[in-house]
Amino acid sequence: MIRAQLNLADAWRYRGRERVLFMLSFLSILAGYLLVLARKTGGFPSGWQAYLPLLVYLAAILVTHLALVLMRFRGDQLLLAAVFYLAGFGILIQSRMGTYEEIDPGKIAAYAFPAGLALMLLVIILFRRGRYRALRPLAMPCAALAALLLGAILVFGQRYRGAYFLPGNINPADIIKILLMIFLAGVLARWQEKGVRAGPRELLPLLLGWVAPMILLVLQRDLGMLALLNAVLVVMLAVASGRFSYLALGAAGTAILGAAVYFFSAHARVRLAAWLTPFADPTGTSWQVLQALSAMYAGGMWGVGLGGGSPQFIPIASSDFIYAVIGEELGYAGCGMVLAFFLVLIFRGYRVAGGLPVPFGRLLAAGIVTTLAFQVLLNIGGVMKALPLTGITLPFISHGGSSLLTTFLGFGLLLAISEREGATGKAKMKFSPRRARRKAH
Amino acid sequence: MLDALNIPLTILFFLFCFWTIALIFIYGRASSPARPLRSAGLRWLLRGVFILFLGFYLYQATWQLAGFARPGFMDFMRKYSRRQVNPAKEMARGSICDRNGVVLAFSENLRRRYPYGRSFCHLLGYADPMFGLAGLEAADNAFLDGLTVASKGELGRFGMNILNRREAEGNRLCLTIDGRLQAAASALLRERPGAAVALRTSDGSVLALASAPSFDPEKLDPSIFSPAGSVPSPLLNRALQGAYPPGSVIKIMVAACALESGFDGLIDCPPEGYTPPGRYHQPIRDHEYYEHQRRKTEWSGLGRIGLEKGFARSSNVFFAQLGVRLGSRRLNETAARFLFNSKLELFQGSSGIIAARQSAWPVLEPEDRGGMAQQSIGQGALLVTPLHMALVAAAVACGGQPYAPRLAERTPPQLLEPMMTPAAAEKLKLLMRHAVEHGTGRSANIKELNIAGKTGTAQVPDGTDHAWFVCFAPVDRPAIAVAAIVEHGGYGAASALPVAVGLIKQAKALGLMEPPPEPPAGHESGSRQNGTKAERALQAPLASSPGKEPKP
Repeated sequence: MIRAQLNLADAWRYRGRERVLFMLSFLSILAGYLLVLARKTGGFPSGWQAYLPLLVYLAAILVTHLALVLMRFRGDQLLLAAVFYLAGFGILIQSRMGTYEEIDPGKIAAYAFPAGLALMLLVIILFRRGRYRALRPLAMPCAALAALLLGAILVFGQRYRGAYFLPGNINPADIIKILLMIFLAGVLARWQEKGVRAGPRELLPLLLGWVAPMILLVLQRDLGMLALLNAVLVVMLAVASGRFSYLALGAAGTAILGAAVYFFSAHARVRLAAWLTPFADPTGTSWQVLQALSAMYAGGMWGVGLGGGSPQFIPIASSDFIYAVIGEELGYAGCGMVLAFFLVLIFRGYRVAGGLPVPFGRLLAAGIVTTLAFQVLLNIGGVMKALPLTGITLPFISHGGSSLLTTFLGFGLLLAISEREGATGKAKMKFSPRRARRKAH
Repeated sequence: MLDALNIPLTILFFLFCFWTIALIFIYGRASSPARPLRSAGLRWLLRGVFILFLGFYLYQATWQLAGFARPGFMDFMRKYSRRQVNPAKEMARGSICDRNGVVLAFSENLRRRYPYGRSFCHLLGYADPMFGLAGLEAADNAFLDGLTVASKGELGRFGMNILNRREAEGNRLCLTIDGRLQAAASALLRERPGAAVALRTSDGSVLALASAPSFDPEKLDPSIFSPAGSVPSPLLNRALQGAYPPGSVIKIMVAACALESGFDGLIDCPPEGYTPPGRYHQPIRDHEYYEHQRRKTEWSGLGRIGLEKGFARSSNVFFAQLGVRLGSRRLNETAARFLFNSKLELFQGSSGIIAARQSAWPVLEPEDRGGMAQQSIGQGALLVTPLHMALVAAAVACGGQPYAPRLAERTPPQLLEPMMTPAAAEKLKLLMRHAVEHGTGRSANIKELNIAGKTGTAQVPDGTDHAWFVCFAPVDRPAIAVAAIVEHGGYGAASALPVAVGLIKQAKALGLMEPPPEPPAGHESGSRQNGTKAERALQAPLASSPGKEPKP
């Protein structure tokens, strides 16, 4: 493969848009952070410790940007900008929730953000320039690894808030999202290349790899993850095969699964009842979601201001119900902003997928993006009572190290895929904002 | 320092946030000009995800912005939200005011206040956290809570409430009631079980709709909800829901029927009364018969009399025979035109309606002469509501075709189907005037009021008769029609007449007897105005002493 190598100055210019967007993101987060700090301490403390999360964010931005320039990376810039805004917003909200004040050096959550970025850069380096194709033969091993991980959690983990965690509150179950997407992309790419439309022989490997992790998830009673992964599965099947009958199949499966869950799990039954008839038991099962909705109602259109709300009245505010905190403090408008950034991620992600000629890359990118989209929908849907509560976290924003790491890992992969092989430097140069401006004059 | 920084920092936050999004959008458009996604599946996926996001975001608005439209949610927040400021705790229900803008009900610290208390308790009902809603409060609940978007004003209020929930307020309901007249009616009833209704003849406005006994809508006493209370059913709005035998008041309708059929003869009224042909019928006698019996004197009967004298003297013997002569077909047909057995709706609210109970006219069979005789003097299974009788008086006053009674200013005046021919109405006017000048209603013959009316004394199985008086005034240019009933009040002229006459006196004092300055078509303006807090404070007191007791 012949490619024109960008020189460093060109690379610096090429990633100019990213730089502008990073700067704006930082300014927005800075304003929010100062507001939170002023609300909390009544002023701006002189010690640098108070600004640590902000400084970490700034450093992360600079390091990532410089690293990408040095790498002469030509992946999607707008995707990265949205990732960075959302990550910064997550830091802002978690600072507001006081997450970094009681930091425990032993816990991975403290290092989650820098570690996640490092992981993202590492994945980009590893899989860029079309090297992600190396993952394709690993489809089956990925599924096996997912099953193994889930088995290990089941054996060694301890229950906490209805889910299993390894010691140190690590929930490695998040990583199986990525593993299973690689698996799914590998299997479905074969379908597409062969032009096969889901015969029994093609379905067999899919069932082989998919069923075992699902059974383990059921055993862990991680119904949220189960719902998420299967929703993605159904959609990906439909997209890969071009048959919308899979959606009907998925709907039927959801109904059967829902009925089964309803009859066999008291836990799920309670959540379902709280969702369908919230005012039947307002002080019991529906308390959480009604308190969250009350917070959002108190926020109204413009919110009560960052740091001005009362998240102490919202249950599990810093993780599952973080969207309610946003709703209270930044209002309906703030929620719209956050959703807009997620939509940017999703649109750009699908654009990356749609621009790829290779079925495996296309399906992997689409799988990662769809997982993110459904994760967001499941989380905010649970908070606003559009769906039953599932315990799925809001990507980038919810408190939780393993979730953040997995999200960065997924986007690292997506960015690596977005750097299409064979693109010449010259063709890309027209994206330089400075050149564009000169042309305009 | 915080206060100074709060707004600029928030604005900066949103500004840069928005800037970032806008720039991403611009860059996105510039860099990849509408390159279609290669796979149709992905295109559909993108659309589907976008629609889901949009749908969720809109659904969020139904809680976050328009949560006040969910009563259960509001209730939850009022009880369990521990936030110091939750707009749910500040949302004020709209006020209710009378035709002059005097506030009759308003919200203060989440409590419903009724400054004129008992006088309006049946009409307005109550909005109580324990006992729920009743009356107009129930019928127009959604409107008062600001949840309706039927008109431009309501839509505006709905939008304002979404944007500024700290000042959120419901819509203001403006009634056609005159608060001072209503207070007078209530005072005239003196808590005796009964009702008084006043209608404006020119547009059907209900000026007063009082019922007694009353209750205090601010401090609901649980005992009023139990049937075995000491006071006979204070919750019942007798003006609309009370079903009473009309007694001689029905003779207005029978006379109308007779006039329309061209009756112009004389009927012999012997002293021993009239016994309808057929089995098991008791003789129908005039009230004078019983008076003479009590005084142990001789009653010689009215002799051969015509409609004018029979009406003025309210002769049962005359009307029983008249009814039999008119026959079942004519009587049934007239009763149907007089809106018996049909629904009488006063108010179409956002959450319900206010309607009077159906007046019951048992349809007569052609052979049932006993029934004809009984129903022609207002007895038997015949039942009417006070509002219905006021409407009948209004029909006579309006030349046979009255306006539909209406409670809210926002309801446009609407003519009902004619109840009788204009000629019959004109003659009936004179008959009713004659009854006041020379007949049973002589105590109502007050020169400056010029009342035309009809007394009624309805026999009831348990205890003393119900007393009725139905009238309108002034007779030459009618402005107001009134019906009053006092349960077990005895002779109609004795207890109900002073209530009705007192009401008309008060109406004249309030200037309600003047002809309307404008035709009633212009009544829609201002009917959906929304109250403001300033207006709530401006509560002009009602007339300090609502009508002195008129001497009978």
